Amino acid sequence: MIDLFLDRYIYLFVLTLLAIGLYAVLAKTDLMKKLIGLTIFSTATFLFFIEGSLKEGGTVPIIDSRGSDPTLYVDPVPHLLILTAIVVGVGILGVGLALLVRIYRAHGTFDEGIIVSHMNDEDPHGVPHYPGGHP
Amino acid sequence: MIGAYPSVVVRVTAAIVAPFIFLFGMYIIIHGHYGPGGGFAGGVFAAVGVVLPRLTLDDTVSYKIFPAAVGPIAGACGLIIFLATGIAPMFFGGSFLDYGALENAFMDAARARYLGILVVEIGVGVTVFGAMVMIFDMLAGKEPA
Amino acid sequence: MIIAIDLLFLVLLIATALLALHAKDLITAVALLTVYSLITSLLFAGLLAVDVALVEAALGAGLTGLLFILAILATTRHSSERAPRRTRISVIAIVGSFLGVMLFASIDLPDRGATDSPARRGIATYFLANSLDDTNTPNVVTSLLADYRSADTLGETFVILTAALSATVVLARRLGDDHPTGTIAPITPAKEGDA
Repeated sequence: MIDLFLDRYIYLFVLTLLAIGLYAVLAKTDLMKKLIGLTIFSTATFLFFIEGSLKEGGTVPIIDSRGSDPTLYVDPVPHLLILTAIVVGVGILGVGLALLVRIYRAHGTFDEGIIVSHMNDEDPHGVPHYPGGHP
Repeated sequence: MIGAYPSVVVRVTAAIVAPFIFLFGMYIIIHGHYGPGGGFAGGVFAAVGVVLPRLTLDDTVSYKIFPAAVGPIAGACGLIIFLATGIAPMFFGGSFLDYGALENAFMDAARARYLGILVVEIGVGVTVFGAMVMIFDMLAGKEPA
Repeated sequence: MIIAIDLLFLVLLIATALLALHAKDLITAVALLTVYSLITSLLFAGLLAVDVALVEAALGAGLTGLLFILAILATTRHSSERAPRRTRISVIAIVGSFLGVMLFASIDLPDRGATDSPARRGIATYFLANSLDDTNTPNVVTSLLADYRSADTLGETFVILTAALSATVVLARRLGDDHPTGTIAPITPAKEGDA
């Protein structure tokens, strides 16, 4: 039983983190908390990928004096994928935060219930007016 | 729009440390061949070196050296460097992004690919630097004029 | 990797994730998210992914927190989470079934560092064997990123630039906008003799 746990504990923890992130996106009413949940979810995905690149007895994938034997180094392809994914994730976070700032200026709150009721009202007083219609 | 931080210790430390962070970022970009780093990490560090004065020092100081327009311009320049390095081998008979086709009397194929990797990493680093500074500037309220 | 430290970090990850979502003050939540990213970066370093650990430490534990705090300063600091009602049963059902399905799917995934995992058999064997001869670059991740798979990197660079430009477009001031841009109040101007 302990052996089974030691072989597979990583999947348990990473999937729990994914479930926590998903729960935050679905159940929280505060928009900023939803964004935080999304960040938790994506970082847990990165962890899952990098765990899959591990090799028993391998080392950092920088070729040194030991030669070019592939069994001596861990798998570098997931590192490549996650490296770009992290930077793109921050770019997307920037867009998400810009949208949140805009929403706050228009509605005055982050509570999704109040924002939806603003949008459903017949007289949406919180929506900014542009001269000549929508931009 | 953020303004100078009220503490002298923070202001002086940030002013001294920020150029070294920028230099360290450039070092990481160029040293990516031999150790961890490369274009993405170096671009982020260089952006931190520019963002730190904007947080702690007065607006006139930090926006004079790196104005708000540096974000989009750096982003575009990095991408142009990358694309130029990709298109150049097509004139010598290779395919897109095939640096090995640039070999000539001065450098063999491995050396040409080494230099191609260096130029591409610099391009990526400059673009990531520009993107991060652009996002910071927009959230802090300074539009690229 | 020392198993005890690994388990400790993973438990800390779950703890900080739960606390970050529970906090009433948004700056507290962002600080806990930064701790979460920092522990993830330590885990990456322990898994011998040093490039990824460097980028995660710089971005996740640095710039992400900074961007969040800028957005919070421009909007509000208080989380508008309502008093906890009975959580909707549908959300619990969705998350529970997600977790169940993923755990069931993970039965077929290989053990940690096993000898038959895809990490040992995939395309990486060619790249690791030939990178030094082909490109004179000891760092295999860099040579993969900029030479063997440079088309992927070109696409990613486009995406990063597009994301930054779209953030600019979303927040740009338009004609007739009655809200001023830059609603961050400046911190009180520096007084001489403050330490």
